[in-house]
Amino acid sequence: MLNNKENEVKVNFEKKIKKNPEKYPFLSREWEISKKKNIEYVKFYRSSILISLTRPFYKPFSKIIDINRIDE
Amino acid sequence: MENLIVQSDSFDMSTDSIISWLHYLKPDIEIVKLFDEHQIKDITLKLSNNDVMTISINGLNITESDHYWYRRGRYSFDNFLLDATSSEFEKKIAKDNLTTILDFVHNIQFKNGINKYSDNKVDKLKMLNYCRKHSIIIPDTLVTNSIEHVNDFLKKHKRIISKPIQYPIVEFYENQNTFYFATKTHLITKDIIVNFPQKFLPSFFQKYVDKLFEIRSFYLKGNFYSMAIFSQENEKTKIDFRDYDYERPNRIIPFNLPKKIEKKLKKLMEDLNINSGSLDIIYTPQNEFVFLEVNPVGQFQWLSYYCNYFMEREIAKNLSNVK
Repeated sequence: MLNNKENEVKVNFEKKIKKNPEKYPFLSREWEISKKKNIEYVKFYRSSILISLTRPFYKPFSKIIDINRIDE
Repeated sequence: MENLIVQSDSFDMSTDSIISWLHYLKPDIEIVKLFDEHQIKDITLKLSNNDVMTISINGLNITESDHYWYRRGRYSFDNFLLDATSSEFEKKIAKDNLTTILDFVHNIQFKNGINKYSDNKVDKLKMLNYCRKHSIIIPDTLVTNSIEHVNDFLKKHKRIISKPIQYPIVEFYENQNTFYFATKTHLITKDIIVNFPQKFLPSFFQKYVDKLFEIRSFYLKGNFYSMAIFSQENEKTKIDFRDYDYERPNRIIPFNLPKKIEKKLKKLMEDLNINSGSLDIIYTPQNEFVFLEVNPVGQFQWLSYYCNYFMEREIAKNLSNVK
């Protein structure tokens, strides 16, 4: 979350882009403006490592099927 | 005792994993860690026909025969006796000299190295141009500052996208804070064009390519570790899988690229002088592999995790010469 002062900076950027879009890349209106976060996860290293590294996909799981025992 | 130099960010977790593997595989390896912005205060560089190149940075002796892994971070220079009283002329002379040395240091080719700082500078246009040379299929691409040309491009291809010409995230320092400006890939429609100024900063456009699935492939010195991502059936992820759907995540599977495609991509990486990187590829309903881009210093741990490739171990083995 941005505090008031940071939010003001963000809004100023957005206004500048809106006022003179020709001075920016074509996609500038789509920019997601955020403040660089202070890294806090070091103290919670083990629990946060997965959150940080894991993209939301289904992980495929496979298992070995023994066809000789498939009817059991 | 062998030296391994690791240049990275203090908080990069893939660096932690690889260092753990290095300690496991080769307990006696000496790891020199250069993290974040490594400021050069003292430098001596020796080049000779009769010896290996040596460089001493702040008392640390580095030779081209050392093992080296570049992950993140960079070198920078101390002010070298410049201060508030220095003239613009003094600053310019210092900058010219130091830039040359910094470029050299950032480009050192180690005999057993993975990546280098200058890999960050490899740009999309160069990649796409090299693809043409190796007959790798790319989406039709347009870089222009004219809305008229964008309009013609849209008429021709019916559906087009725009994405950043270089970095997806730009950092800018303002009011004692660093701000991120991030952009994903966006579909460009007629409505957007109509309301846009005639001229703008040159920007990057491509024909939208329909896909059966996307492929993220990690390349390490001639080997590919690939994953197919089924992002097409999901409205949220169909333009860009990085627009993640946390409610209905995309399905993925480990995937082998055809050898013919791998051979071409290997040549591309050689031309770009990159020995490791993450490639984005589309597989189309017409059974074509369409190259999008390569990120030399992208994240690879999620690919390793989902596909059980144990790439951290592979990188560590490579750096420590363990078979």
